[in-house]
Amino acid sequence: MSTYRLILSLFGKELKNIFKYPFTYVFMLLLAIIIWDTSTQVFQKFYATQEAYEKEFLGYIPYQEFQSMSEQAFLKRYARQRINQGEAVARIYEDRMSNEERGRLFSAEDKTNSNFGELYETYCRRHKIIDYGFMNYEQIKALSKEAYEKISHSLYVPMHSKKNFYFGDSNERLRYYPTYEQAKALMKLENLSSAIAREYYFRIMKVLAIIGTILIIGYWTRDYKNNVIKNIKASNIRSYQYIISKYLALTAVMLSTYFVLTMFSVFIFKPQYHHLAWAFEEVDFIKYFILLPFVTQCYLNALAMLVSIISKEIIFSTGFMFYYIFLFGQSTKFENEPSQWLIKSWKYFPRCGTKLGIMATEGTTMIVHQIGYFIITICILWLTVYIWQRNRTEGSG
Amino acid sequence: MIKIQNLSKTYRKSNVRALDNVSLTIGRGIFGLLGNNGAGKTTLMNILTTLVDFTQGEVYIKGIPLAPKNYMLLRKMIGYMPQEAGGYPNLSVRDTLDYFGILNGLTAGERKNRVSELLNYLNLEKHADKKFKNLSGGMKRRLSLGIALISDPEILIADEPTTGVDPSERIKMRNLLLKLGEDKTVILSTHIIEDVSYTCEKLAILCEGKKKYEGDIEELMERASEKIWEIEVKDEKRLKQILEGNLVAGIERGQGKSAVKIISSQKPYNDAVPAAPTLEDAYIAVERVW
Repeated sequence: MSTYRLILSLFGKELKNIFKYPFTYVFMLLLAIIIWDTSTQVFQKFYATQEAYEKEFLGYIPYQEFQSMSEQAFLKRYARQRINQGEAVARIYEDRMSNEERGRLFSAEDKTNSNFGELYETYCRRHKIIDYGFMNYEQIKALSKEAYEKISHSLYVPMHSKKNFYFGDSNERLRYYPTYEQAKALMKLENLSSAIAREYYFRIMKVLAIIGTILIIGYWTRDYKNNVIKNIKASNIRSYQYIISKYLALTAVMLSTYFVLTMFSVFIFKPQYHHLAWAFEEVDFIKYFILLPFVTQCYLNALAMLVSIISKEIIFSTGFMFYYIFLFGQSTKFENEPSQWLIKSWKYFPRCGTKLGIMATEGTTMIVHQIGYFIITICILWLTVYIWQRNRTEGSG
Repeated sequence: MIKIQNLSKTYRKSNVRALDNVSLTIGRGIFGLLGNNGAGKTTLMNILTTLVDFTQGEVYIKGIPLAPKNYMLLRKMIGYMPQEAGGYPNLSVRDTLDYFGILNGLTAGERKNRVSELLNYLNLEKHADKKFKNLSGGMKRRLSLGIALISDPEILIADEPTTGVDPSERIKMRNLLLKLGEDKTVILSTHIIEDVSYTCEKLAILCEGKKKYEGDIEELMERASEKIWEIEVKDEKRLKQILEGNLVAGIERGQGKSAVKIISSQKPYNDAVPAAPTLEDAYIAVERVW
């Protein structure tokens, strides 16, 4: 039988065998739960009108509603109150800042001993902020509708939580967020679906790395555990045929399950974007699937396979891989731009910001990172074949 | 068929010399390899199946030197039945054979025919769809033999094929091996003497990595007969003395006397008479007093 046909036959057989391996179903179930959970967080509504956007996403209270609110109810919703001589007051200003400037200012505000005051004054001088001074509830209430709408940005701060990526009632506030006008401008840079796809895959990739690794290690070490390794080594298959077929079958099962489940969620959640002018296209998800989890999981699978073949047992392999996944998968943020993530060459996880249009600046770095890891994957596969071949005859080499 | 010359193997990590200058010539038929645990049988099997490299010596299989460049060629000629019958727990008997058929380069058509032939030959047809984890010890052994035979090799190496199976399965396995020995070279490595006496004409005995005997069973028995003695004892005190001071192969008690079989290179007592040896006696004689 030719090499090509043998690899194909073994690939087909391994595909069937993987479905006879009980952990495969545990893997699929866990993945389905995680994907669904992530989908409910990431596929949040984007609002078509300014009013809906500001109310639902930015948490603003419309003027009429504010007028009918009690002071107590207002203070519950108002996130940035100060107490001045026993009275709750707000720093009122018109927000003309960019997303980044706003993020920097809020980050400074959150830190003690920061340069918030200095930064605030700088923005005032640059007319990024039009300062109205401190006002109490009654003073705010006395503002006209037009004035109220201008200073709304300084009153309400979007919150995010694990349950709601874009807006929620967590006590952690969102430092970076676009105003409606800024969001509209950002949407011209790329499809909304691109930004969602990036965040979607970023979130699931790490979980897939963990449960995927267990599947890979369990599947490879069972050759040793079930005493079939001697029969395999004594057979006349070439080492590269065996390694490549098995690797491809495992990776194919893992990635196709992942792809089907994620795309299923995409189709389920897609209708909620139909009424928007902002584009939502499935092809963006396919594009980012290939760019992100496809490359990263191929790399991690190859690494897990190499470690399993070297250690020949499950505990050490899993321990090593978990250590690697957690240590080198940890995303790093820029110090002065907390919404930005650093793409580092020694970290397999190419995390960049979720902001719309970010690929214009980060796209090349990310693609280079992923190409680099694809080449490393091929090198690991070659190394695995070499080590397996050496181990095939004990005491050789 | 297989020529082994001055073969030695020392394990680097443990510095254990598992084989020491072993030379053997193995032809067609069943060749028994006897030895205690740790005698070097498995190491020899592993060397012949390319699983372990050797330190010194030469091995030729059908005239082809056992060297890394020839490993792929030799693996096609050798079927290996390891000491522990392994298999994937959730794979059926049929799927397991089919899987190893692919690993041995058989096409889909060849596999289909070979798997049914083997299921029939190994009497596993009724259990073809049973998962490996649900098989009895004996069935697992037969499946292991099937895996070794999937590519229809010219040489079969069976390492302890009857260990841990019940008597009826042991007989089945012996019969299978006997049949295979008609047109293949079968190396049967075991420490169960009965298996060798039932199936082999030629054998080698290994002891602590060294070859102690190689040849026909008949010749072995003949040579051993000079070292097997029997003595009739009536006195219990004398019996105790004999048992303590000699290598005793067995005692038969009855009618107020005991017949004690002693293995000794010289006549141990004046009243001792030469006795007809069994293969077991001969094996002990080779191992202990040769």
